[in-house]
Amino acid sequence: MINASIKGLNPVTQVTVRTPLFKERMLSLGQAQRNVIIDLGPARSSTLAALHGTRCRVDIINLPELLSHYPFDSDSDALMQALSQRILLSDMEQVELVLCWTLLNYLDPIQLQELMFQLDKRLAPSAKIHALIGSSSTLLPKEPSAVCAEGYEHLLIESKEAPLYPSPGYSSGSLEKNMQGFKSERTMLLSNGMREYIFSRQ
Amino acid sequence: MFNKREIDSRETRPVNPPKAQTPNSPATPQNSLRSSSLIAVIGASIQIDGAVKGDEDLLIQGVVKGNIELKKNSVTIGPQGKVSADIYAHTIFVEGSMAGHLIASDQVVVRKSARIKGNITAPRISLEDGAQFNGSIDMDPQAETLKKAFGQRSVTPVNPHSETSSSKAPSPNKVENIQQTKLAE
Repeated sequence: MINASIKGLNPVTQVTVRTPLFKERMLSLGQAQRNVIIDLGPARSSTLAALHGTRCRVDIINLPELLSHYPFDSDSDALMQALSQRILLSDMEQVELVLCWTLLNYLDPIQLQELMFQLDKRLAPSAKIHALIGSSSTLLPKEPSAVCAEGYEHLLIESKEAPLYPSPGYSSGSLEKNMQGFKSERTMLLSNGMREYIFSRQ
Repeated sequence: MFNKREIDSRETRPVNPPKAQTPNSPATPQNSLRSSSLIAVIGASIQIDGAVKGDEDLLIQGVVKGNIELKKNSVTIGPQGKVSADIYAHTIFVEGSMAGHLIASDQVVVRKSARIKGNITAPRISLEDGAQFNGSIDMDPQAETLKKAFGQRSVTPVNPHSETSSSKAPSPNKVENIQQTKLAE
């Protein structure tokens, strides 16, 4: 099922993948201390359910919505200005975790650098960034997939259209180059061919 | 001021019961309204500019521009309702448009049709996928905002052991595709 989805043979793609690093990060959110999380995706019930019982605040950025208003070929400055407004909209409470889902695959290197520049203003020294990155052989749907947490163990990646577009294929090195000040702390190969990353400050 | 009326069992359904599933078996508008015999309704043709305070449940189908303080009761923004204000209530249900801060001592329920620009603070928050939301969601029962608004004792404690199946324990029925290989770190 997964291979068929990746090759675009099945227009309805719904894949559940085990994500050990996501689980590890979620379990690290203690009930004793307050945690501030930035979610680059839209608000999802599954994410809130997974975070139930933790003392947390989730800042919803909804990058897919911004990308729909400012596609690749439009003014990148306008996108980053809008992104900055959302990231800095709330107070400057320091962020411990950023959930990127599959969204970094939809940013070009310049946009990725700008995103990190904006996020850096909010991130705590111990902050971690979680992301799913496609390899150069991975095909992606045109619009970012919906990614839903299924508890802590799994993520459900659901696309409304067949994945036909090649991923930028960011390597660890190219990610670190474009995410200045951050290094790839851990990475895992997932069953759908994507790699799961945790980034931390260098 | 409002169209106050006695509620019978049929009228206790200003909105459909929430479909979203939430931790701790959330209260529904129906449940919350049953706890009070009266409900105030701001009709679709009504616009209020100014603060709203009281001790009964409130259904908003019109327009409210001004803070709403019903700290012991529920506030429902119906599908036609438009609110530009901060809302302080025991329980808040949103189906319409909201710009401002939602602060509930117990729970906030956001339905798929809701459009919210602002922040939500409550110990329990459920949100249906598809709802338009921009802002922050604060589920910390010890959040300063809650303490200032309601005081420590008035906030409903959260039982972290009451997770639903969508929470920590993955369903055994879920399709699982595991082919995990650890790469060089």
